[in-house]
Amino acid sequence: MIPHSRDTSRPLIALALLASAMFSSAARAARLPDWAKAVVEHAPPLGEATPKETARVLFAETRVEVLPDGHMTIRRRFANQALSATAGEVGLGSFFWDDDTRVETSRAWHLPPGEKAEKSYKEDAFDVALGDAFLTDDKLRHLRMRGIKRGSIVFFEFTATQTPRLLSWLFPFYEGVPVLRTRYELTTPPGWTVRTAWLRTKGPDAQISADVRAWELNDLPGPDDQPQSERAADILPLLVVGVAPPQGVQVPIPAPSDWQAFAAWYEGIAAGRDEVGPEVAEAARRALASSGPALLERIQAAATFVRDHVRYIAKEVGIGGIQPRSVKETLSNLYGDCKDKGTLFRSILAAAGHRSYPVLINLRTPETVSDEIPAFWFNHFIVAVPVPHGEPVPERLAHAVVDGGDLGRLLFVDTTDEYLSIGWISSALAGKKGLVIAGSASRLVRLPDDDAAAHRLERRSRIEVRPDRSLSIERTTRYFGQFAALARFDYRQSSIDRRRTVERSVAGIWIEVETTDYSTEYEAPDGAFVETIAFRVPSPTSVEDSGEIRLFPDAVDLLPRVPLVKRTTPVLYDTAQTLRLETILTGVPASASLPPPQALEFERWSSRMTATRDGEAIRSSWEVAVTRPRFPPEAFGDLRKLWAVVSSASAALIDASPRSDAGAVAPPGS
Amino acid sequence: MCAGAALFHGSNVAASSKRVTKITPGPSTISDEEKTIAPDPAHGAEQGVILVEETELNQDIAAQDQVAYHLRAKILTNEGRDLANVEIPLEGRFGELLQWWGRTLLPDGTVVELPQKDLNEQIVRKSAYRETRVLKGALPAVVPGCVIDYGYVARASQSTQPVRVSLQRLWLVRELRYHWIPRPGFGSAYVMSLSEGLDLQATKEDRMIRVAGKNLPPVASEPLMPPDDEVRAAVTFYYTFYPKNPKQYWNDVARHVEENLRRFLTKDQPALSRTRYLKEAIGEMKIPADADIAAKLRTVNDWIGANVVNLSLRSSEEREAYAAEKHAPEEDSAFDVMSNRHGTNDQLDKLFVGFARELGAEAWLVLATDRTDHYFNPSMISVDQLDATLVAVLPPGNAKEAVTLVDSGSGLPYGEIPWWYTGSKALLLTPDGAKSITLRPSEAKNSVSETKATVRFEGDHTSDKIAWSRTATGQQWYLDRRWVRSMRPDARQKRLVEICGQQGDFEVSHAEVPDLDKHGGSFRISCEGSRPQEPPDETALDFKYSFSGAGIEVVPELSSKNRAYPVIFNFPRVDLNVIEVSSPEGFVPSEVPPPVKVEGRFGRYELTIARTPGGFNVSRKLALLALRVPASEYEDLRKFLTEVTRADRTQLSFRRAAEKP
Repeated sequence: MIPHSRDTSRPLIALALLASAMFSSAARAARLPDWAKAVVEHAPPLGEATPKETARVLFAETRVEVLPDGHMTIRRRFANQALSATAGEVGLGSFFWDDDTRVETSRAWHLPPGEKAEKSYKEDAFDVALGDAFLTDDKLRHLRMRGIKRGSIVFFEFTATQTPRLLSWLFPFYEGVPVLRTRYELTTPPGWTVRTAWLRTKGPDAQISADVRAWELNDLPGPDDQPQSERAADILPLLVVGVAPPQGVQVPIPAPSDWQAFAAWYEGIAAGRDEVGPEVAEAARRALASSGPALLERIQAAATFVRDHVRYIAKEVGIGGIQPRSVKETLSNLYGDCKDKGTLFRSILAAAGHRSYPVLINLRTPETVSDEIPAFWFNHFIVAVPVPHGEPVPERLAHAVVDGGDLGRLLFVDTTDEYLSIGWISSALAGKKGLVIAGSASRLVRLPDDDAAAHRLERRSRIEVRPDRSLSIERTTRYFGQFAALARFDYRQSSIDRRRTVERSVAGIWIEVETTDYSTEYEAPDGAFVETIAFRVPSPTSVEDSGEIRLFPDAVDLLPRVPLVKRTTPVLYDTAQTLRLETILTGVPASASLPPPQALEFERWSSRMTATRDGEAIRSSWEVAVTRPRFPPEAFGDLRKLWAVVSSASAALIDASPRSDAGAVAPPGS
Repeated sequence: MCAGAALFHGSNVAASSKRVTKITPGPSTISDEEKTIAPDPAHGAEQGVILVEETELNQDIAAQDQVAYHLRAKILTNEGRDLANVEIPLEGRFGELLQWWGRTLLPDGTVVELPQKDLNEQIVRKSAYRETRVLKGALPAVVPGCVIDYGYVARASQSTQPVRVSLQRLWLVRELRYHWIPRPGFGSAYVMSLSEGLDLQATKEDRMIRVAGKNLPPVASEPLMPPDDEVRAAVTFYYTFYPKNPKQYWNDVARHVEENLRRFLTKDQPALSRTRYLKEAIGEMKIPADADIAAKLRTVNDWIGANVVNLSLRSSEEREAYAAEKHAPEEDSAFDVMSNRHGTNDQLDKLFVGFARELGAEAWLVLATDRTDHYFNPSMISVDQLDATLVAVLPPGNAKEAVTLVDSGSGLPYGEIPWWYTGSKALLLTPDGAKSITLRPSEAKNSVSETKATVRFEGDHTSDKIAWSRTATGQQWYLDRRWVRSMRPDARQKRLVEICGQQGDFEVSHAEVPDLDKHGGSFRISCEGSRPQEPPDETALDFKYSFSGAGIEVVPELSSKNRAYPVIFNFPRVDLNVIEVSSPEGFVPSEVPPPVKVEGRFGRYELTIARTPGGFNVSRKLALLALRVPASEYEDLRKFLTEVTRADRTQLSFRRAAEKP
């Protein structure tokens, strides 16, 4: 529907609309609390009439007080200001809570410019479920103040009590809009120790007064929505906090001193959940029935069984958010979330006599793990399987084998990722640091993010130039790793739509195509998603019959680009990757000359192009490997060269006309 | 379009208090026929097949509604397992589950139940006034090849809102049944749409309306297809709240609108000179006495555009400024609109009617729909389907078929209305009654986009620089102009940069719309940008360049050879392009590509390229004349557009210049 096409003000049909008295703000006049008055006093002028941002946070403060029994009280205050008349969202303030948290008070005050303040009513508060889990206890307490004007300041204050799972946590200094001043304050009982660390970026030192510590940051940016960029939430500083009672004082909330202690705590939570009973033994028998005898084959078979047979359903309520369900329950239901699936996988391995370790990791947010202070900022569960010394690792699994230090080589397996083949590490996990839970040998391991050979696209096109100048083309693409996962996802949503997408992409190059065949192999033995399309391109018209055939016309579509001139932030690709295009051309005159070979190597990428004669055929190949997918501004020169090489490959051509006697050229910009 | 519609008057028959539903669980075994069902993506059976879906909405119960639901489906793939994720909405505090069953029937004959106790309640939203909950449960042991069968009976808050039921889903539905038992004492009606060619029936038994369908295929997705509501079979059940003969409904609406309009035009005005303020304004317009009525009305339209702010179409700056001012409460009257010199879309249209009548023309209001969302269905007697107001003007002495349509304050010229109201039916409202009319689209010649571009190459050939400017009239870029005006400055600049073609490594350095502060008029934009180029090899003799990135409007992409639904364009249009391409340094123009002319039933295209002293001059003309192309004529359209795309990829050839001695 076209926005604004409906006249909301249309009073044509006299339908009586009853004005609701409940939203009237007439009787709400109230005094601002002192903290809010201080914010008003220090608020800078509004600035231009139509600023870039419609809102800002003048002040945000989270105050946490740890009680002697380890419970906490939380007070969160913030002041939003509307910089535009259309910033109605400023009137909505939110506070996250769950079943471990009790919201005690929710209050708001609205100070319109030049008017008296008004206070929220109880009725202005409402709760909504949060997140995309099938079941969750995560909620947001919202308070909505209305009548927002340009310059309006809305003050929110929420207080809550919380029973934390651990006496360590992270605090992100990010509000989703620009923040002028943000503050985190921690109060501990006398004698408690406090450890802190900054992640990503060094933040300020704490201001300490007795048992109160405070950290304050100013002028934090809002989100940056440039394409292929890091999210502001992923680069702003994270404060890690760990507190512990004095020696000899027992509290009911654990305070792990290091990652080994943390691992022991988690092992306690998960204890017994992976018990191997008859059901698991039977599942292991089924899972491994068609597997070969080699250890890694068995691991792969067990992982594939769990990946494909257990549907993903997350029930994240209470302890269920971190504690795996028993494998018996998971097997009976044939559904579960990452920790349920991972635990079942481990049990099946155990039933077959193989050891494995749970791994806690953050699937999306980078740099959330401090080496020194263990805190639970994980949202995903995968499994590490030790690969015995000397055990040969097939190419099919090699990309997910990582050096685990004292734990030896570890094969990392994510049974939740339904579209990624076992033996690959997804782009969401690449570069992330996870905790391998292995008793006293537990340790942090960082997953690799520079394996360009893992995530690759290999495309072979056979082009036959027929006597009538029409073309018969068969194009087979083998997708590996993340490329395969994306293609499989598309295919599984609708095989018909996937085929249409592929047909559209070849029509985008050849304009008029007639598909003669389309087939796929969902998961080849080497882990590839294989897709073949065969099509005919009719004889060219006299206008376009230049006789030139581009060898890799699709190269330019495979690596997206963004404008760089004004860009000040890094350009990111999903993952390190390799693109390999091969074209076998037949039916061209023997006199047709070949493009010259090319080999380039830079810090972040390399490229190679070759073309040779093989009897009546011309075989050509082009490959580019991007080993470091993050290009900071100082590497934009490299990135431009990369794109130029891709453009050049995309334009490389063979003169296939019978009159061909000219040298092959790679024209720019065509 | 409308296969079946029926209206029933309220009856005095005492309400049945029966709660017993006829919806019951399906068999607890997989039938032999169900066992044979296999994936068949070509016929909509890919992830799963809905074997039976039945719903009974019973509103014949005191103080509450009751919903009974049953789904039986065969799961064919892992993705299909999501059908086994059950969510039962419970609206309000009265929402309550009365009955439940849920089971998975495995291929080996095993039946796995999901007991009611395993359904978990989750609050979706809770406030002091309202609570929305959902009961969630996941049927266990679901694997491809199994059949799931679940259902429930739930109590819900009373509602008299229309209920629209889509009769085609993402997947094939083999049997669908929907029963509606309306509340007694109200007029009730249903309308079924787009049921042609489908095995769908609607029947009435006592007060109950039954809709039944078999083998209902999913709806295909195609580019430029009609809106979803116009391709997906659906039935809408609703209360009419209209005590008279339904055939009189739209006539009554027309009379009501006319009364409302008269009130709007004369409110608070002295009895003897109720439209004096209109006469005074007409005097202000300085219309030549000898002008014909069309010229007079054109002047009125222009005058309103220039002198009365359309509050619905303000720029972001105007909105900010308006919000900063103090405003006294305003009446919904033409006098107030004229006094304040601002009004909404609807008010400006009514004001125009007032002026037109004052000038002696017949003028009426028209209610229209946004056809990108849905079409007007006269069988559905509800004004809620109508989105906007327009004006129909009939100069004195003309037949009613000769009406001219106006959307006063829209920024469009007299006789043009926004394209999203055109090409579909609307409702003309006269004091004599209502009449369904088709709103014709603007002619292509009135929607012209004229773009002039220059292409230069950097001395070292490392980039091409493209500068272009465009003037677009009528519907061309009209909607974008409205959007861009309403955007905040930073979002606006981003959008302008996009319009200027920023994509990939084409970097826009300048993007400007010069008269955006003006409410109406043509859309003018000027752009500049460049794209890095790989310099030609020093030994290369040729250099080729495609001009397709030089400000050429997007040509619709219709590559598929099959088509199920008509192609719907926004509006007929003409694109004119002139592109001057300079020779790169050290090169001169080579062969001149021959001219291309493509004539089709749905458009015309011409491409002429000439050599100039400094390079090439490209002249391109594309007229897309159709608004709606039926699927049966799709191939002609596709071929035409393919030829246009092919011609647009013509490459300009340069050869290395001979070195000067």
